[in-house]
Amino acid sequence: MIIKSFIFTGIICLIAQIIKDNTRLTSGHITSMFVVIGAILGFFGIYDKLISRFGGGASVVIMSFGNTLYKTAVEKGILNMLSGVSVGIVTSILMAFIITLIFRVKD
Amino acid sequence: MNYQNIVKNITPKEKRLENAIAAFISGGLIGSMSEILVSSLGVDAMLIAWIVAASLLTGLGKFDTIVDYLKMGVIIPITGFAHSVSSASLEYKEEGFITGIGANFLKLAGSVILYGIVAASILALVRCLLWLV
Repeated sequence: MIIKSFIFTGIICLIAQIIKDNTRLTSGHITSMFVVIGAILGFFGIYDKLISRFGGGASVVIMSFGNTLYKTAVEKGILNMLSGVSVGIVTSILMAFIITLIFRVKD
Repeated sequence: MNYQNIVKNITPKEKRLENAIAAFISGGLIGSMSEILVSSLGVDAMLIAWIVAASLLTGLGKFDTIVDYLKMGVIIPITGFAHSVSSASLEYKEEGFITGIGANFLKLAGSVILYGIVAASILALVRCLLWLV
């Protein structure tokens, strides 16, 4: 399962890198695109199969964010969709605030 | 074909190959470490661990150097999301708590949240309609 995770996350990052090097899209475009792709894969029921087959490697990529949003929207209603991803968002925001208080930009 | 043309033709491709290999290996390592964390502590703890690590590295100013070496391998996993929030927040620190940090901290991560919500809403509505039919 660890090797499967390596291959899955590796291939997703490889695809992203190939898109970045061969088009004018920025990292922001690519991550947004991958979130939408994750939601679409969730819609077709593919992403949950990927998670059960590839384990943690499929949960760590940003596509999982889109999949979780879609899944929570279906299970708990569209207006509650953020409850599925609140751990990631709230932790990111709190950590960002804490490090902003502690550190300053180095030029 | 003179020397400069040959250099022009070869250099970017070679760099692309290096970038691709770097992204594959770094992404893969993050994937396997995530699998170890998920099987021992669960998905939420895995996410928290990566977010804390990425935010701290951003605060220390090391994350951009890491991105230079590891490319999309650290942007596509959740570490990239955490980095986009903390780097935007840190960058606008000088402009104050409200008009600086508060107004700008979702500058980069906002698009992920916005288009994630839009896509998930449309797809959930489509599923609803399909179920009714």
